[in-house]
Amino acid sequence: MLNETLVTIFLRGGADGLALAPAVGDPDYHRARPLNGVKAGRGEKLDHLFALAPELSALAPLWREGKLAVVVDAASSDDTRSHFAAQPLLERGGSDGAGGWIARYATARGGVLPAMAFGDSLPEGLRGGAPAMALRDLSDLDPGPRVFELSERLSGLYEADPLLAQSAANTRMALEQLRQLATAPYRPADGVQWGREAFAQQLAQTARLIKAGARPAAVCIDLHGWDSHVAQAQLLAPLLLELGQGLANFALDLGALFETTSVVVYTEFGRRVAVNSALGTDHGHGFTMFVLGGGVRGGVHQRWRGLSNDSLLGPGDLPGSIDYRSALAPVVERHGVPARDVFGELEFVLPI
Amino acid sequence: MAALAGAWLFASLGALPAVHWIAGQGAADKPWPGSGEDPEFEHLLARCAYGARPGDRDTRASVAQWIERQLAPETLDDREFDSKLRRFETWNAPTGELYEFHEKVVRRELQSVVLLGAIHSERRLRETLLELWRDHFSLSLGKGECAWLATSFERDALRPHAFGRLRELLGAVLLHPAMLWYLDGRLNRADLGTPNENYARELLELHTLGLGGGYTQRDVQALARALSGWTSRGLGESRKSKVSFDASRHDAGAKDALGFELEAGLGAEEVERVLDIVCAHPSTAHHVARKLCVRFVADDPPAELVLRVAASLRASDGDIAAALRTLLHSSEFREARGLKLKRPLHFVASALRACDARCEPDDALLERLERLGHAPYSWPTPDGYPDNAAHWRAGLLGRWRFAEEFAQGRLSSARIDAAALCTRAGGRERLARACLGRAASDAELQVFAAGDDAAALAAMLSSPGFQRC
Repeated sequence: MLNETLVTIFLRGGADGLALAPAVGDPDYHRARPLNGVKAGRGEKLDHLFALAPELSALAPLWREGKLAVVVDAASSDDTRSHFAAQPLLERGGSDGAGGWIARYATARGGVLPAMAFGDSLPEGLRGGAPAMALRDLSDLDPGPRVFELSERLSGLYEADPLLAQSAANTRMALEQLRQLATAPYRPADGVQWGREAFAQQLAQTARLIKAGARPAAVCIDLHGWDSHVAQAQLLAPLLLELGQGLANFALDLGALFETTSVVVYTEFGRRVAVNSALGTDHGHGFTMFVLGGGVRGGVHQRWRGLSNDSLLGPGDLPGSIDYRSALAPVVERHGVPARDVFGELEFVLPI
Repeated sequence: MAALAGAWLFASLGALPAVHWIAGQGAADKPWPGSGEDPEFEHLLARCAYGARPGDRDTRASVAQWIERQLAPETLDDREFDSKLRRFETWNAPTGELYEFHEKVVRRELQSVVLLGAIHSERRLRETLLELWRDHFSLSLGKGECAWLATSFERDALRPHAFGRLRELLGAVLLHPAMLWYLDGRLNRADLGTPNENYARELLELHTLGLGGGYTQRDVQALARALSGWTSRGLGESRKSKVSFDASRHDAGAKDALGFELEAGLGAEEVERVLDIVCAHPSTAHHVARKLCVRFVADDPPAELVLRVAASLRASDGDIAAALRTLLHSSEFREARGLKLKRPLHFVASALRACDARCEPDDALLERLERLGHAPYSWPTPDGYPDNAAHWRAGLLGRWRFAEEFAQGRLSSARIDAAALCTRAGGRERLARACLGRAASDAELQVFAAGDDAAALAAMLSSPGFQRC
């Protein structure tokens, strides 16, 4: 059975991989993070080297059931250490032109609903021609009869405008399909208590769409705030809690439908191994990814060479030993889309 | 894409019949001046004035005269706008005293000033240019104490220098407490370990040379050392918002940055040397010129125009007004009519202006702008709101909702009566012309003919033609 909805979660700002999955079994990790590191023995143990951040403990049950894959030191080809170059590079997924890997995947996957992104605009990953729309909240899709009628009256004018035709058509498609759903009452599965934060609400609404049978090929969600140049431990703790709690609730709320859903968590780059004078970390390279959902082979995927100076890159960054696309390739395949159509030829594919 | 879009506009413009109006008549019952008879002037108002109010077309000024007047904002009579600003206590408070207000009040008043300026200030070009500087030197009110400091940033750093010299603008921004907060510069110290790179990187990547502008990771690290030691006092401290240099936190050693040597022991002077170096770098003129061209000409502006605007920046010692003259008098600017997608602030301001609405920005209007994804000083990252159609066109539904609510007279901030407006304009065709700045096409007129006047106005403001400028 093929997976249906792919949920991508982008940790914007450059999430520190060593904060998501600290290398508590590596003495060099404790030397690099003497004050704000995770102490050995804390957090769910992943293997002899890595643990989950203690704030991610909500994911421990999924990990123990083998439903969570952790990819350590993944990277794109970014060498700018710039958010604004590295994010689109990651989202394009190796294509030279504009347009993102999620759009290529969604085009190949097809379906009656446009792909969706929560927010005010389409992320780069979803640009490039796939039917897609951005929304803040499902209730946006019930703007009242007059606006609905207005959108129909204007459809001819929009069709004739090459800049806006597709956006207008996608908006009308979503309005037609989801108007009723947007206002119907929703009761999450027993034991699920969704938080009020935007991230939790967006995951909750994604679960609601899926459970109502509306299964878009892709849903893109951003979690902002990972640019931890200052007081990293304090800054990231609430974000990690939000991430872990959100993902755990998502799996629980979906129940059996989680088996035909994929979730990918990634970021534009990791961070410097050594802390700076403000107990933060500066922009680095290799980062940590999570892959969850139906068909995932849980476990840690790594080519760890340690944290000694000669295994680090440039000013002291994780070298990026795994092409992040090699972790995405098997995921799109589980949705019936050949990885080649999304990423071109890859040198290797992770057994994930 | 650009060529295609141009062809689309050309086809929809059709013939431009002559329209007569009586200039200089006073009072509200005055017939509306026509529009579209001077496409060049309409384009200027669309791009550099957040669209036209009906009265704007009364002017006898030529395009060149309008530009010169606008480039001297202090000579423009803006008493009505200034008097509206007097009501905002925080806007008139010294920087240090802003901390005495609730964060929400400071934030709301600053956002109101920005929105009110876009709708009501007579300094039209300065308001549109300020939108660019707010993105170029982006700040987010959500970070640290930025909510209390951004008012002074807008008022004391951006506004006075908007048309000035780049070096002075950058100088006012670099050590402003808001930016020291936003980019962590205030915590960049060399005495406790490695300096914090954040500010140095964004200074090079976003504010000056631009990505690919010829700097390396080593330059970032050298500038991080050079900028170490500057800090700003915050909540709970005396003399809040005061920026100072602490030599004990500064890396006083010699540095090599961007091919220049910064000798040891420069102290607080070092930051001025850094500013001289980055401002004089040719990539900086090019980077800023490109931003200007993206803002005023096209999402992907002609490279040749960017070079010319950059050259006038360099030849004039970084005079922003000189660069704008080159840009606004270029054929590339004239030929770009209708190629840009309005961003939400522009969409909202131009809708209110086209309908001659008087507004008192209240929470409702700010909330609509926030829902459209374009509240001032709210973009989460330091690169500023994107300035391209690819980003903004996903938000059409919000625009349709806004147009519908506003046209129905249900927006509390700016209640209008579409039927009265239609009568005043001299019919729907004339109203459409005032909204679009050109005669509506047959296809557009057909859509605008249906329903009552409010539905027709909603359709005009929701139409693809009104989203472009």
